[in-house]
Amino acid sequence: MPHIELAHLTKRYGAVTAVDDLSFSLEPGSITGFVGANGAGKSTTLRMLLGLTRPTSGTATIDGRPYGELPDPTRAVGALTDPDVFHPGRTGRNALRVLARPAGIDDRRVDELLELVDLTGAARRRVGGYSTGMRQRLGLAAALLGDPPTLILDEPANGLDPIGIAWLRRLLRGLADQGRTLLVSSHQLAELAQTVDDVILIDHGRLVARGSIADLMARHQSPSLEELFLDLVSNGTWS
Amino acid sequence: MTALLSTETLKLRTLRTTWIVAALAVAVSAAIGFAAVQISTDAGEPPHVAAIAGLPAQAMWFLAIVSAVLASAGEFQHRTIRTTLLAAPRRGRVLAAKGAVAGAYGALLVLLGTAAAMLAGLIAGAGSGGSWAATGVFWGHLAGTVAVGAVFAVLATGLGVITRSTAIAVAAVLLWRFVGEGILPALLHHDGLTRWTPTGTAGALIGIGANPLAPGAAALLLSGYAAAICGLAAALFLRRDPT
Repeated sequence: MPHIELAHLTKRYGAVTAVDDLSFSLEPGSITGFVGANGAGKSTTLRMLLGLTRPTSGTATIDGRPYGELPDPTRAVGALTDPDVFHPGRTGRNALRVLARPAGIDDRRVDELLELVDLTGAARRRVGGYSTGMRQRLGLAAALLGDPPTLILDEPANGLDPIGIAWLRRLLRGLADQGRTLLVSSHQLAELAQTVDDVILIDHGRLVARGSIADLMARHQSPSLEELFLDLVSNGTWS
Repeated sequence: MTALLSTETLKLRTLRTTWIVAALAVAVSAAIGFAAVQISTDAGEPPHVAAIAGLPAQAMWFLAIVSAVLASAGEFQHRTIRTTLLAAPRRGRVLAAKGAVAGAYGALLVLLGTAAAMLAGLIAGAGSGGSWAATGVFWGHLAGTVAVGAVFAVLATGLGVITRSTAIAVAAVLLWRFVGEGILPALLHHDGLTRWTPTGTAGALIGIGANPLAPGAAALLLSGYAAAICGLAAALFLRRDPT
């Protein structure tokens, strides 16, 4: 059974179709880039997968169940949707404790993760005083709280400086090497090409291409993921 | 459910606003209690414990409402509702836990306020005589005041979820209290309408005003208002996507 499965997933907001009959599945242990232009429907798709947005039609399941029906979601799936999802008046440590509590995760794990994302020194500072990069790292720590086998990360490199991006690349690769399934959306294609095995490319909410980066580049005779993206999206050569 | 109640309590405890509101409740109530005893002793009337204890009730109810709105609408305003629902996707349970914790905090604020008013009254009225012995009526009014604080906080939790905005929810409460409840009886040519409003029913529960509603009926009506608002909040919360 595929780990993550989207079947004919569609989301309409009035006359606008944000996601259009999107279907794909991910096998356990894969690291997949989710690529598309602004407004292509990436975030909407990920939010539907995470139960935050209700599909107009179709299904999105993890281990055969919608996110909302997972018995222990924090331990099953780690998610990063946006760096601005922490209360600015709460300290970084307390922001994580609040998310750990429903899953019964203790404070030691919170401290471990603050150490992992290099926020131990800022743990008792209010999130409102954090930089975008710090909030992004806090979001990654939140995603890892339950040590989940699946990670769904929406633009995890946003706000990170080059050192942070290099750190993120090592972190994601390390997580993939542990056998976790990662679905990572990003605009930073050069960066993504160094991190992921496969890509799923969408445009206007529809699947444009999917496969390993090497296969897609060879098939479309593109020298880079960026060129491939521009070829497929800008020129409309949908395959 | 226990984990969700614990989570909502932790959310309240880890925000400075919670402690500021509690400190404000104590300070305002103490000032009210102190001033009331001073005024009554200056007028040559001995202070009365039951009267002093009930004086900060309306202010405490308002603070309970504001706190509940900050906790519920604040989740949407700061977009923490996304992480809340990722950690606990069963929305009905999340809303129930929010209401229960807000209700408990509302009750606690009223208790704190009452204690502060009485203590300040005792200090201000030391040696001036008066009746400081708690009677059955006192305990009845105290229970009513605390219960109203809890119910108003639950109602405000629903209002926060419906509006998703702390400013709109607080403005709606103020408009309703100071404009709606004031002009509705005049508009509808029905002076007796005030007894049925949330404030009117709350007053009937603690003996404020000349409301002929029996305390039991008032409690039932007030709970009905809270249930209606929370029912609407639940329907919207279950259906709408978080921002």
